[in-house]
Amino acid sequence: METQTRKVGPPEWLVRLVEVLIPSAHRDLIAGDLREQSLGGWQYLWFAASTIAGSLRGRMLDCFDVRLIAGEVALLYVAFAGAPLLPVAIVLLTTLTALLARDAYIHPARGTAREAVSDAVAGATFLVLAQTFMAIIAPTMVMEGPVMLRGTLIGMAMVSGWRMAFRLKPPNDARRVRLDERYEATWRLNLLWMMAGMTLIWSNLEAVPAGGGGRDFFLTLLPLTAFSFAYAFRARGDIPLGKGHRPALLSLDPDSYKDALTVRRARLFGWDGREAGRVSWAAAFVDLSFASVAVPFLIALWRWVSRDPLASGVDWVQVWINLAAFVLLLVLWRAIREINLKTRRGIDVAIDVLSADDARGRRERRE
Amino acid sequence: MAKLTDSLGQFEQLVLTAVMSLQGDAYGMPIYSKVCELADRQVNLGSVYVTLDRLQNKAYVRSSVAAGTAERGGKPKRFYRLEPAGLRALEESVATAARVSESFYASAKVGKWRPKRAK
Repeated sequence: METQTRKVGPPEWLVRLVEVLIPSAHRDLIAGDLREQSLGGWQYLWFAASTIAGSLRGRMLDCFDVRLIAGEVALLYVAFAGAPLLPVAIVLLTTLTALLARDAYIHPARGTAREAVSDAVAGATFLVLAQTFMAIIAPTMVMEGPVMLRGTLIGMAMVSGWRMAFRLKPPNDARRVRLDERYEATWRLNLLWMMAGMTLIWSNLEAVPAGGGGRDFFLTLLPLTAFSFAYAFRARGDIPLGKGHRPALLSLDPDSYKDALTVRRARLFGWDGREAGRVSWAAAFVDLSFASVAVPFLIALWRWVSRDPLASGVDWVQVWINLAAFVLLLVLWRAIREINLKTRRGIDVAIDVLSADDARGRRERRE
Repeated sequence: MAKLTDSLGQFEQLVLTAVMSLQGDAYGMPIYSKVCELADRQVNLGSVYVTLDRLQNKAYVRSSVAAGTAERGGKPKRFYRLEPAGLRALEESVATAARVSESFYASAKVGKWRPKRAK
């Protein structure tokens, strides 16, 4: 009599769990291969674990970018400024490991808002778990509650923005990311950069206490006003539309869509050499904005040099940290401008394509 | 002779050779089995996929996805094919290996090479 043997495979829940743990780029392929092999329970588990480990290791190596990591370290350090060094080191180690593993899972990243939020949530979750673990095994290494809360919120917001900026490179270039997604991603970066700037302005005012009334109001208002003027001058040179005209992005009318793209183009920051004359006022106002952010550093320096009694009220550690953050913001401004310019060029290409289509359509109709 | 392509790592050579020898049937498991056979040891399936991605980024192989079968639980297969650039890179690697091999055996034959003895 013919006997039928039935291979005892792993339980379905284990198969599904393993499939979730495979990095997304290879998930379906490796999951299919594992099923195709029909391995038994422990054999399956061992083979799957080593495969996932191999895939993760390779992905982590591919994703490792020293600039990305250096930026993350700097931003987290600034966010947790004031905390003792050892707890900060533990926070850095935990968060960076979690983010590197996450990179491996989502590679190649698309630089979307959802990814940025997931980055922040993953980093914050691991941070809280690590602090909870430390509270059990070494309570002296745990950060104070308020510092932890402030650092986690500010740090994760800045780190996720930083990671989005660095992910805007191939394979997320103009050919592969739709124009709308690119425009939105660029604006998210702009907003994050502006939020970091605002945090710096407020932190500066706390680090260098005011000697008289009205200074804080002036030093908060001036950078914002100057930057708003820069933005207005920049946009004014670009928008050719009449007042009250509201172009629709979803319109099927090519002219309306072209107008909408033109408006979007004008809303972006940055200008290149060809536009230098037209937007020189904008550039001057950006310089004024940065100069006014730097005023508290000059006040602190003056108090120190002139041996002003108010110098004792200056939080020098915070001033140095803020100075480093200011330099970082300046460097990032160049990157932000570059990203905005690239998006504008992408929009230019789209407008050119639409115009060419229009011209061809008109020619065909005439013929 | 000037090199025309990036030099290949040993694992990349193994994976490229496997893709070349499997021809039309080069997808995950057959490539993995072939690489194990060529390396004469167990390798990691995850590393094979990572290497295939790197080779694809270098335009040494190209891939196409085929629909899944019942035995794969409906999961798709990705078939890989060697590109001309990949073939050139592999030829260069084989030529280098041949020169190393020739030099090694020539040195061993005339007694220039001695293995280090453990102290």
